[in-house]
Amino acid sequence: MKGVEVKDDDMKNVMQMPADVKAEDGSTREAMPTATFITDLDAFLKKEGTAEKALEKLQRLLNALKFIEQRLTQKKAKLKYKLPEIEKSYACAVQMEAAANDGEPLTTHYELGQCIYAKAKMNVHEDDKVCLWLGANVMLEYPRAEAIELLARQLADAKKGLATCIDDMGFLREQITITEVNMARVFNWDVKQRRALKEKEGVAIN
Amino acid sequence: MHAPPSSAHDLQWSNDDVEVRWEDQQKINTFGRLNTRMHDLEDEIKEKLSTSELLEDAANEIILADDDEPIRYVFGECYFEVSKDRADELLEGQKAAVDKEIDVLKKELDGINDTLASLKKQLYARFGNNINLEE
Repeated sequence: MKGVEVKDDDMKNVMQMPADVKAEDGSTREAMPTATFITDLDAFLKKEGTAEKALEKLQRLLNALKFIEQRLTQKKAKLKYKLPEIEKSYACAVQMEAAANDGEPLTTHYELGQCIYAKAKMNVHEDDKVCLWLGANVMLEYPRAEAIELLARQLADAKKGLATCIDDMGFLREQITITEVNMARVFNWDVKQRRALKEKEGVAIN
Repeated sequence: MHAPPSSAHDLQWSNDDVEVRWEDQQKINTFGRLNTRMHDLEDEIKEKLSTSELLEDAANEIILADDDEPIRYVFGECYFEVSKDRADELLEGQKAAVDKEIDVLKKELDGINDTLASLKKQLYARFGNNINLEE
């Protein structure tokens, strides 16, 4: 077997749940438990005692991994929802800037209430202030150029966050796959063991 | 002989299973990861293609519009009045951006499909019917 070293405390490592630390890029990978490939099945099961015990441990790890996967799936969905929202605001601000550069007021139709649209003329060429909704019931006025910059940065951050999230999910997927394969192998090892035992008994009776 | 349930690739091993080596495990990992990515990419491409189509439709509709009538162009939650030429420009820009994104995604998908096919061949060669690599 090349490429892996199986240490005595591998199983312990496998089960450890590190503290919930976040890397600088928002990756939660550091906080994920990692699965270890079982190189030597016989040695592994000797250490664990019975196949049932080993399977139980692996199942616990699998549950933990699945739980994290769920969390990441939610995070991804949230980012996927946020991204177009930021894009919309960004496009709005950029268009206002474009109109201002043309030296014209911007005529808009905006939704006054559900299905009611009103016309508004914005003197974008005279006033370069826009208000950004920052969340938590806070709105802040920005010079337009600054608002565009801020939105562009948020857009880039959201895109990066999404990429990191997808990457983390890939890593997690691999941990889950390793654990599932480990479980399948332990399970089959056990079946084989039982069958061998049965045959031996059968021979003894005959 | 059934293995415990596994979601990503329903791995089923028969009794005379072949030893799983670390390199096999790595191949299975890569397969699982890329397989998920492939499905994501397919969805994304589908989504973007329909956006591209909508933009195309809008561009065709605009041709019929009056030249001096301002076009109400959607920005976020409201409509901005823009000239017909400007609307044309905006639509074209948007469509070009979406089409470029589609190209990038398609390239990635092609690469992934190649890798998947090769991994599939290798894994089936080693494990035969003992492994089931779902699409």
